[in-house]
Amino acid sequence: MLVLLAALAAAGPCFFVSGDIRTADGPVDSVSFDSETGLILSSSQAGDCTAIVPPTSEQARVITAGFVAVGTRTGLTEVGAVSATNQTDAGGDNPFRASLVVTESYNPMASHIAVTRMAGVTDAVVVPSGGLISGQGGWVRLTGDTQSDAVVDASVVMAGGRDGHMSRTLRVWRQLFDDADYLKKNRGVVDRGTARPLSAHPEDLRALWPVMSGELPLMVGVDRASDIESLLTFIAGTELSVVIDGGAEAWRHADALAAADVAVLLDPTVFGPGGFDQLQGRPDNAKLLADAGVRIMLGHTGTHNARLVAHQAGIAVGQGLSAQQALTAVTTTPREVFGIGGGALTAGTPATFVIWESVTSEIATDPFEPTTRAVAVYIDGVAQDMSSRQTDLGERYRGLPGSPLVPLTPQ
Amino acid sequence: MLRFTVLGALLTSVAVADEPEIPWALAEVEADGLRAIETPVHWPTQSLVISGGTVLTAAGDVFTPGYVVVRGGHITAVGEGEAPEVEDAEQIDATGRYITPGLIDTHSHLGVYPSPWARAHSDGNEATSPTTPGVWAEHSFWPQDPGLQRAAEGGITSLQALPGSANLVGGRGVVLHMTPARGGRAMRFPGAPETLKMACGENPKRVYENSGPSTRMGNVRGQRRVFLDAAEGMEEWQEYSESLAAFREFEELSDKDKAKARRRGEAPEEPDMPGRDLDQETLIGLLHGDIYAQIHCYRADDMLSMMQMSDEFGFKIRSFHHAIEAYKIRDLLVEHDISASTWADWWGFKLEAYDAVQANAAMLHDAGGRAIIHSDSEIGIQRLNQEAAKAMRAGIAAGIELSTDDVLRWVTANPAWAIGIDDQVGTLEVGKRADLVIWDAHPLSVYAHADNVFVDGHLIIDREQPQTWSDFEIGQGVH
Repeated sequence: MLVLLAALAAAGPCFFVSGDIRTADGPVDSVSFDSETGLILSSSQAGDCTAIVPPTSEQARVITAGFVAVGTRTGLTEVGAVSATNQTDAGGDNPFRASLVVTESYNPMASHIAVTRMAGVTDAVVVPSGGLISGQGGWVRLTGDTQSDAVVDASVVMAGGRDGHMSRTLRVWRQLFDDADYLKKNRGVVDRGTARPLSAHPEDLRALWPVMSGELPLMVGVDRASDIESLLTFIAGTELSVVIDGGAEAWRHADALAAADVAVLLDPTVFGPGGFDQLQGRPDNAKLLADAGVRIMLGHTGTHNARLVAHQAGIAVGQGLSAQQALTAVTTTPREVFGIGGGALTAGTPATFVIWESVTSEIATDPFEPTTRAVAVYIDGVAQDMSSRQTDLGERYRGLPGSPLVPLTPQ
Repeated sequence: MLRFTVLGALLTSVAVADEPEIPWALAEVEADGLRAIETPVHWPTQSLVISGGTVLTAAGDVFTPGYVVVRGGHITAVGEGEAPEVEDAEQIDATGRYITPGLIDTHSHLGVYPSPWARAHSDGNEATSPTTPGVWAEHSFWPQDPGLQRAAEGGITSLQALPGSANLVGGRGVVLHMTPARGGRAMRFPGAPETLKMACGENPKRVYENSGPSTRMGNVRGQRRVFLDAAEGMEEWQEYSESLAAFREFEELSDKDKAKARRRGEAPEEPDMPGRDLDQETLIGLLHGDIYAQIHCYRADDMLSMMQMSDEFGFKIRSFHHAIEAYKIRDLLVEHDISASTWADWWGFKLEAYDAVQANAAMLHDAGGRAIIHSDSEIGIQRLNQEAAKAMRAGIAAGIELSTDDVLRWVTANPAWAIGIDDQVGTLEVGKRADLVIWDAHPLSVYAHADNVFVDGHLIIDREQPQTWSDFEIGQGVH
């Protein structure tokens, strides 16, 4: 409580934004924030703060919290197929990489970060891939020139890999967790050289302790209903906290997932016959899960198109999810599932928000519409540059024919 | 007897246009290979009057409210206000809804890389040689691909199914009409030209790294080599066509005239047909102008190399596919009348896709070019209207003026042109085939659903009457 009160006192210049502000908790009239602390002062009145004036337009504006892209490779690669730039998969022979901290590979200068941010995505949960335990994923804000600026929390999830063979995965995990438990109960055996044979390096086993205690969620790539059922059986009676990545057929176990508090990160464009593990997939998967009380998140669009979160939300709404459920899925739910908090533009939380405008009078401003664009992005109270390598290239080639270069004269 | 240099032969294909028409013998031979065993489905023709909604013609007109009248599978009237009386017509009230032409995708691998994904289904790249012009996508095409129904549900009424991009010359594409059938040939779009898929850049040189080509210059050499051979082959077919025409003319003569000609030593012998060569025949078809070139190409300089080659050998490029850097050479694309089929936002997955600009399509459009939004994806093709909307957003954000009609053309009229069916579909105009979609909301909205989709005036999709197209989805317990 003391912390919260401290945050409410303005330390620096304060600003406010008002209008059609939509949050996971419902609409608010105005948001004021302290530009120095980057925290929201109030979500009801502007006080003496200065109004933010976004670029003028004839279209109505809508304001939301910044969207979160979950399960991406943001900042882990520059060009997917150029292996020298790609640090998403540690590779090698060791499939157990629990001690890997993927934000150590995070490059805040990657050119797609600005591209992603300009689409209204302010935060990302970046995760490694490969192996049967891929390593720890972190929470990054899509701003700043250094890792220390960008990485909010280096360890918010343990990426469990996607093997596509459930019984094999669970057998291996039982062994791993058993060894990790053994090390926890028999501390010092490794140093004394008296440890029994272990299935993984002690560092990788120790890194599983917070997973076993439920402190660190385990992300599991799984689509098929029967595999989800096995996963639910596997976690029953344990402290494990699980996030499903995929869940194409998750609607079949919606109630059980809600009861076990398993969150689902799903891609609303997945369609049943697209793969044998998703034949039971339905377009209204997101709606059925959310209606059953499952915490859902939307996205899963890789690296360069992690920016498509808004579009994915729109697609889910077009397939039955309510706009409010979708807004929750891309703002507060990830912040809640991964322990960051905020996202509803309430007092004391980061002033991370986006101002949206339609580009056409024919379709109303709506962040989920492909005809609506982000005109301003604020992260922790700071207005972000709305240019990227892409817009710079477009500008460079604005004038044709001829070279984009200016003729030089000797000086 | 005519004697041509290689270049001479190419010029002939143009010059012939002014002379009396000589039947192109290769076309007669081809007809045997194109003939279908399976017959297209023929639904009863029905007259339709669709009225009350907003009619977006993709031909510059928007009618609010407007009407479309369909008779005999074709559009017979389109306009603003009250629809004319039509006898025995089905009346469709589209009040509050939107009517557009059916969407057209220039770049699909439906059927050749069908769903569900499996190696056993991967029939898109004949990656056994860098040049395989003799393979035809229609021979890989699986008409039971469940993706076809999903695409139709998204408003797609025509598409070009293409081989992949492993090969410099990957084989023939096929232009299809969205009429479910037991065989791909029955889905061929009537009267559509044959197409040829080619590729430049990273893919061929990666796939053939060990055997070659392993560089961009090796790529272009590989293509020029086969075109040199084909140019010679075309000369043979040219000569054969002429000899055959002369022989047939002789055969038509009366016995008396035949005898006369024989006496004069002017009676032609029946000429020998050149040896069949499937690879060459496709390339000859391209050089002769019968087949439309569709070239997978990302980088501006790669596209320019292809344009140089098309000038050198005298063929026409109809569309660059992916064309990530079309914006850099949009003036030249306009000058050479080449369309660009691109994505709204895919990029960065490989180096030649690094310089993407989201306003790519809009910048080409703004320069007077033919912009096309393609899918290259069994998922993207389900929402091509939304992909166009994203490309529109980027264009307007870059300061380019765009109307809904302009943007709609990126997924209707322009793709129709690129695959040679623009005289038949792509806009809502009198005389065109009645391929159209009734949307429940503005078609550029993410919330719009295709309520009804018509092909040749036949209702192929009705949201109120769902049915399963693919045998694959039968008995899978999906409810």
